[in-house]
Amino acid sequence: MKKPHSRCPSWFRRVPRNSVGQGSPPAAHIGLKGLPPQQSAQRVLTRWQRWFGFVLALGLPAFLILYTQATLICLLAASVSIYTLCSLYKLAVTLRAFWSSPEVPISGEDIAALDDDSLPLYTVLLPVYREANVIPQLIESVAALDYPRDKLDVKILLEADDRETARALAGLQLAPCFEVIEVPEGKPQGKPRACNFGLSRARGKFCALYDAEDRPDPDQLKKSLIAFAKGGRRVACVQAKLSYYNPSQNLLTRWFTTEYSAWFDLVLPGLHAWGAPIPLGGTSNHFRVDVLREVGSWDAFNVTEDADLGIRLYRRGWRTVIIDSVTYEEANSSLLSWIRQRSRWIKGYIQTWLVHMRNPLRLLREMGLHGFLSFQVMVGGTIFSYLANPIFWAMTGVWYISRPEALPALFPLPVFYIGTVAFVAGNLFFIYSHVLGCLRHRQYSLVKYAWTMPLYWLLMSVALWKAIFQLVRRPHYWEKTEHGLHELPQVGKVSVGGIRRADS
Amino acid sequence: MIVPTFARLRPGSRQDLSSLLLPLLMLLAVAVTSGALAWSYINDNIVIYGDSVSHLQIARQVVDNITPGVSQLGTSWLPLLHVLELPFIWNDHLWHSGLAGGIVSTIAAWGSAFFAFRLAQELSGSKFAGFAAGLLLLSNPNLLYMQTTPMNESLFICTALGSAHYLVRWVKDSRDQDLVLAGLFGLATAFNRYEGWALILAQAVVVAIIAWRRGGWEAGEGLGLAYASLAGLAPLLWFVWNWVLFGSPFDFLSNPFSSRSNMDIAMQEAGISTLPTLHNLPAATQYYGLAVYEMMGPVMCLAAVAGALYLLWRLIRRQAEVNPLPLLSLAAPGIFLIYSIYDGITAIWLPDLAPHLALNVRYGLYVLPLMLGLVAMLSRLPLGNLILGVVVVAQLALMAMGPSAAAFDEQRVNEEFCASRVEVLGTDRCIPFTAGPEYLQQNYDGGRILISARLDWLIYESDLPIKELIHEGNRDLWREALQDPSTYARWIVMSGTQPGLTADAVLNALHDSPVVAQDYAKVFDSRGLTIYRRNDEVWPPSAVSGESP
Repeated sequence: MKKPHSRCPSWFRRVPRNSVGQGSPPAAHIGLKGLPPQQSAQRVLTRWQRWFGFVLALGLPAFLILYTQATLICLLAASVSIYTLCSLYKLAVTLRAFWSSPEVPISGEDIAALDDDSLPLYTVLLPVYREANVIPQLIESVAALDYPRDKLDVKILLEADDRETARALAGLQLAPCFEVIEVPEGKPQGKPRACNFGLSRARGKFCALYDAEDRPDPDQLKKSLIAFAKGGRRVACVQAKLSYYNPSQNLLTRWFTTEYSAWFDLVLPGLHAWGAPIPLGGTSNHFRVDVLREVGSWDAFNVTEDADLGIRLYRRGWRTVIIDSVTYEEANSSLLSWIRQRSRWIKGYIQTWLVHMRNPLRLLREMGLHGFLSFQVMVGGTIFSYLANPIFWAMTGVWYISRPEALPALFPLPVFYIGTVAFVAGNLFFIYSHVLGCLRHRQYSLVKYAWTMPLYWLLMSVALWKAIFQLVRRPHYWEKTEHGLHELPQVGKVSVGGIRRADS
Repeated sequence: MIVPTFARLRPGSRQDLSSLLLPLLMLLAVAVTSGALAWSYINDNIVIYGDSVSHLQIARQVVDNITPGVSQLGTSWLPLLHVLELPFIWNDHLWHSGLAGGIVSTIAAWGSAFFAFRLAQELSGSKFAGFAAGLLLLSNPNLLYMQTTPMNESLFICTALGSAHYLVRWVKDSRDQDLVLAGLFGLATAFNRYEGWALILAQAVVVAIIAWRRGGWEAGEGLGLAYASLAGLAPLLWFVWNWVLFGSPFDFLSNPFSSRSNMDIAMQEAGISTLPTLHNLPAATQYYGLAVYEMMGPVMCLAAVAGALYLLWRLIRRQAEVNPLPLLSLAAPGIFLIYSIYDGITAIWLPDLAPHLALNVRYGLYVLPLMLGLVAMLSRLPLGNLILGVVVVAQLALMAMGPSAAAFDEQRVNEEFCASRVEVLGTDRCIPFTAGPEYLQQNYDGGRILISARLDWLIYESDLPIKELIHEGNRDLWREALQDPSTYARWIVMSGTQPGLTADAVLNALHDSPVVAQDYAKVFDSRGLTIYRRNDEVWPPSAVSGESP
């Protein structure tokens, strides 16, 4: 008979000061222990990459001056080819997921069949920084996880300078399964460094990572364990789906939710189905702890350490699978905050691409041709599309408004035809893939907003330029995403899911 | 206990037999439609239907032209058929024989048989009903003829049946994939015929209503939009295409090759000033109803009416086994056509009704998917499969007694008309049967030819090299050549005698041109067709008079 287990409320306790970690060696925080430094984003460019960039920066203008038309034709032809290939690959990935729902099949019976006594110890890492206003919600969400309390090892990773969140935590009573760890000051400050610190103290065989504003499905840990068991020994990571609980707050949150529906409900499951490398989403990743340590955990210098880790796992022969379990987050509702967040993501994608392309032949050998091409499309191609989109849209606009004679000369017939088809069909497909994402996620009210996604893509291009600028100036700077902009249910005098203010 | 072998095998055998029905139907479909195509090919019937050559020429001009490219697809007819012809049209024999289009239509007929089976099976729950629907489709002589031609009908029926089939499945199982497939086939239908626009509109409304009743307003809006997001791309892209090519998203409604312009020409040819169906709804309905009857024959019509009455009876008693809305959406093309006839955008003429000519009778075929679905409903009656069997046998017997392909006869009626109306020229419809093609075949000796694309029959029959033609599809070159013909064209071909009364843009632009009078010699003038040749070369005087009518 399944052993019932209770939730935390009656045995909450104050944050024990002695549970705050102190004085761990800084080397443990930056990840990639024992790995060559060229696999870290600490150095943005290697020597040959710098030389390549230098030659490109000099050579391209020179060619443009000397052979303007020929150079532009070559650039456009290359752009059209890349765009077309990326579109076709993403089409195949999306349709595969839409048609076959390739997530690891987990039934209610599978979950019910789990014996609580035999469940392994599960570490849950909760990196928080200046999250005082959402911390009660986070504790509540973790407390609601359907997992035996004595098998949970929850680590709240608190930055040393974050007095504000520490104060908020001090006002809460936490169950014994919670441990608050103070991450000592150090550079680069950010989530991956905190996670590495938490990992160094993890006791579980498996670990999960959640962001401060997350609300995971209660059965997610169990589903993850079943996925590990079904996936076999080579599965090192299970990625749950992410969505937003505030899609209707404003247009930006609608777009953001629509985008996530397509990404987590179609693109990532499609990559999983194709056996391709998966750039992990930043939260709700579940790992085998031994593998995570073996591959060097998170790169503290990479601002999308999740995507980088997903690729590194694949290079080492490990696989990531997707489960049909959702973690709800808060969609960024402020435009400026969104641009900051997105510029960090794009900067991280660029870092990830540069890191893994330091030795392309080795990457090809380790990933195989399919994995290599998939990486180019999903990481490199994504950056490229943000770069190319506004340029091609602008050219189209200029052509239909003023019909300059110079423009047709840049498009030889094959380039023109392929480019036109790719431009029209590609954009329509990407719009429609968001419609499909909304259908898959049963977000029917968002279908109409899928048709306005091109405006959202323009915002991404703005974020791209900010990312490039910042990559040069502050490559490891972590743009903090502000949470709590969405009005949360009042948490205060009333007990909400096991959370109670100390003053209540 | 030992069970006798026959007792154990019988249920399984029946199961096996029913699973053989679809493969059997597909074998029959391939055999019958390929046979029909071979018959048309051997008897040179593939391109005799009015617009067949025009469809072939549009596709051919994409690859064979002074200015080749997709812009040659134009803005009048929707492009799917022409795009599908492209893999074949480059071959001279496939082009000239019409096989380039006939192959597409024939393959579409295979798809029609497949989806007729599936749709009827979904509606009736019986594979036998599916088989019967497939047989009824394959025993329709009009469809069998049209599927040998480079015309849109076969393709329309295939994609309309496909969209209805997936819509019915979506209603039953609520699988998103079926909704997407319904939208995809709707998209193909709407990229093939304007009647398809009515179909996708109706289907989008059907999806919205069904989803709304199941999941509220948000589901209705979202799922209706999801269907329209795919199927609706056809009209959307068509508007953009028209805008990009000719500066107006609605160019297809008003250009010289539009349906309305074609109607004006047809009326001019026939010498009638008013359509009997114009702004007369009962007459429009009567003409369309008779066209449907001509296309379907009495057995199908009777069976479809019986199926409709059965469905109505079940609906009144609130005992309908299936949601009828997806099936009823197939009525939209018919309703659209009745409105078009009423509004004068198009017309159907039948030999038995004024003006006693034949025009667009084939439009009756656009409700064939609806009728097949209605007939399949009979399978739900007591002894339903037996009734369906009788319907099929009656239809086959009717066909065996002497197939009556009204669509095929349409051309014969019009040929007789042309032969009797030698004085009413200035139009393109009758010209190919005169001496023009023969003259050009014998006397064309190279050089660019300024000619309206409307004379595609003449171009086709004369075997003129398309790369030497300057026509509307060449756009800038065409405009420049009309301004200054002697610089660009060695030959000028005009049809008609009175400018303004004809759609021939060459005649309208150059009929009294001093340049033509000065630089060109009239080398052929017969039955409204005039051919000029540039004066800068020696020309045998004997040829100048042309050929008398």
